[in-house]
Amino acid sequence: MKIQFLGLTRQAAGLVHLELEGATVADVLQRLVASYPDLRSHVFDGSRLRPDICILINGRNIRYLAGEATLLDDADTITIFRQVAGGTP
Amino acid sequence: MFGWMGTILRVNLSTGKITKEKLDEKMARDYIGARGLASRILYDELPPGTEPFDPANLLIFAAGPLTGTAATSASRYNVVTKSPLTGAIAASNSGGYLPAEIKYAGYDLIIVEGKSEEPVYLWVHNDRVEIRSAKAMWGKGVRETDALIREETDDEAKIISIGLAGEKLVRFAGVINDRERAAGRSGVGAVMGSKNLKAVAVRGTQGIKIKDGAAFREAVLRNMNKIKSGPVTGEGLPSYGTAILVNVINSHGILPTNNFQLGEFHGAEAISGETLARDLLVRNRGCLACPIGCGRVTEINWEGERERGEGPEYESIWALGAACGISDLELITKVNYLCNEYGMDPITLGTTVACAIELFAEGVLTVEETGVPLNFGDGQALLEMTRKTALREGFGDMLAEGSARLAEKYGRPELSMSSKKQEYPAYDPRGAQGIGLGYATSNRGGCHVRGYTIGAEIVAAAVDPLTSAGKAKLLIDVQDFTCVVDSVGMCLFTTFSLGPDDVLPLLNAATGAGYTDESLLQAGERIWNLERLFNLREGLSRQDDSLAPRLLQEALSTGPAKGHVVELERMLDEYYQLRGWDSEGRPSSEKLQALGLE
Ligand code: SF4
Repeated sequence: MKIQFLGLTRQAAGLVHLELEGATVADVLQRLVASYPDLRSHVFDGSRLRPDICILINGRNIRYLAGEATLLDDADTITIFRQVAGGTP
Repeated sequence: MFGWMGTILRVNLSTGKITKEKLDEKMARDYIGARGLASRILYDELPPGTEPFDPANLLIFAAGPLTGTAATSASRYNVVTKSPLTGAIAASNSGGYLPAEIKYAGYDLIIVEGKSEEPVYLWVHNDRVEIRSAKAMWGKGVRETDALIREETDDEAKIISIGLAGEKLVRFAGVINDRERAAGRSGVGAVMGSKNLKAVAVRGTQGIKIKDGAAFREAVLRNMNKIKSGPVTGEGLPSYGTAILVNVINSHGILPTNNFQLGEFHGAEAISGETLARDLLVRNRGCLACPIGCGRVTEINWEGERERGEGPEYESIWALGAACGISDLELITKVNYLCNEYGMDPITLGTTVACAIELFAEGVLTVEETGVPLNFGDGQALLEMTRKTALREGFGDMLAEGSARLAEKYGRPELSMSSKKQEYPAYDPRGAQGIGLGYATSNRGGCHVRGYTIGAEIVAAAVDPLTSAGKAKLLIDVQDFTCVVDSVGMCLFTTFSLGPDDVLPLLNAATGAGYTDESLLQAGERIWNLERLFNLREGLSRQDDSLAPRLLQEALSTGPAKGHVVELERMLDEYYQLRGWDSEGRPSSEKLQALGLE
C-alpha cells in the first residue's frame, strides 16, 4: 500500500511517498519506524501512538475505523501527519 | 477603567465633528469589547433598513480589553458595520500592530459616521484627532498609501487603509492594516470607500492599566506555556503556517474543487504548504505578542523581477487555486499580493471567479460578456479578472458584486457557493457536517471563523466529521466561545490550545470585572444572539440559514465522504432548539430576558 507523509512527518522521513506492506495499521507503523527511526518520536509516545498523530486510511481517520488494528488492503493509501490547523483567524 | 481605555472616539465625516465619549462600564462588561461592543453600538444606533452605502451606516474599528496587553496573541481588532455583500452584520477581524495602537492612543473604539465630500484620512495621535485631505492618496494602492501617510504624519504611525477595491465599492473589498493584514471579509472596505475615508493613521503612547499585575503575569505565562507546548500552536502553525491544510484537507476528500463540483484536487501537492515552504518561503511573520507566528513572508519571480509579500495562507491558496482548478502556486501568490494591494477579499474573489467559470462552462456566459474565455485551471484568466474586478472594468464590474448577485443575474442562483450572499471558505461541508451547519447559521454569511468546528471534526479528530449527530451542540459552544475570543481581542488560533478556563483568569486579572465561568460564556451567547437580532431586524429569516443546493442535493463522488450531502434541516432544527429559538430562528422572549436583551 501507499504511505503518504505530510508536513513534519515528511521532513522526518525525508520522503513524500513510500510503498510498504502490512496486514494492519500496527504492522505498517512498526515497519515504518524500524526503517525510518527519525519518524519514531513523531508517531509514538513510548509504546503508544502520540495523541496528536493523525493516521488516515483512504482519507478516514483510524479513530473511526478499528484504530491500530484496522486491517489493510494493498490498494489502500495511508496518510500520516501531526495535528495541524489553518483557517484565517 | 482597567483593560479597557474607557473612551470611544466618534468622528462624523459629514459635519467634521469629533467627539470623545465615556465608555459605559456595564455595556463594556456585558459585551466585552471589539466584536461584541461594536455590534451592540451598531444595533443601538443604526436605523433599521439603512443601506450599507448610505452615509448613515456606521463603520466601527474596535479593540478589545486585552488588545495591546501582554496577553498571548492579543493583537486583534474588529471592523464592524452593515455589510454591502450580505445586508447582514459584518464583523471582520484582523491582527498585526495597528489594533494595539488604537488602545495606546487612548481608545477602545473609533466610530466613523457620515460621509466626507472629498477623500480624507483620519490622523489620531493620542488625544489629537484631525481629518486630513487624502487627495494625494486616492487612487493609490495600500503600500503606497501607507508610506505617504507615514511621511505626512509619523513614521511610527500604524495605518488602516483601503485600496482601489474599496474606492470602487467592490462588495467584498477589505480593510488592510500594517500593509498586509486584512479585515478581509464581508466588504467592510467598501463601506469605508463609500465614506470617502481612505485611511486611519494611529499613533499612541499611553499604557493600558491592568487591575492585578501579578495575577495577570501568571495567567500570561501559563497560557504562553500552553501555546508553546500545544501541537498545533507550538509546532504545526509555526512550522508550516496555515497552508499545511491543503494536503490535509485534500486527503480527507473535502478540498472543494472547481466550484465545489469535486472534493479532491489533483493539483493539491503543487499548491500545498509543503511546496510553499520549499519554494517560496522567506520567513515567518507574527502579530504583536504572538509566539505562534503563522504569517508567511514569501518571494516570487514575476515577469523577471523578484517580488516579496505576505501570504498566501490556506483559504486564499484554496480560493485562488483549487476552487478555480488552478495549480500554479506562484500565480496564486501573485494574485494574493494583488488582493492585499487592491484591498480585496481573496476568498470571495476566487469563489466568484469559480462561479463565473462554471456559468461559462454551462454556456450561460460567453466571451462576449467576459472578454476572455473562462476555464477551470486557467491562471491567466484569474489574473486578468482580479485586476478588472478591483477596478470594476468590463466584466470585472459584474464580478465585483460577488457570486450570489452574478449567478442571480444570469438566472442560475444555485451556482453561487454562498450563504447569505457570502461565499464559503475551504472545507466541503458534505464531509464535515458541523461546518455545514456553521456556514448556514453564521451571522455574517458563509464563513469558517464564526464556528470553526473543523478544529474538532478534522484537526483533533475528536468527533466523526461524517455524522450530523451532536454537531448542533458542538457548533453552539464554538460559536459562543469564538464571540468571547474575538471580543477580548485575542487571536482565534489560540483556541487550538486555550479554552474558556484560560481566558477567564486573564480577562479578570486585566479588567477586574469579575466574570465567572458562566457569565463569560453567557456574554459570548449574548453577542451571538444580538448579532442574530440585528439580522432578523434587517429581514433575514430561517430561509437565509441555508446552503447552496449543490451541498444539500449532490453527493460527493469520491473520497471518504463519497455519497454524503449535508444533513442540514435536521441539524438546524436541533440548533434552534438548543439556542432557545423558535422554529423560524427567532430567539424566545425567555432567552432574550435571560441574556438581558429584551
Ligand atoms: S496566530 Fe497568526 S494571525 Fe494569530 S496572532 Fe499569531 S501570527 Fe497573528
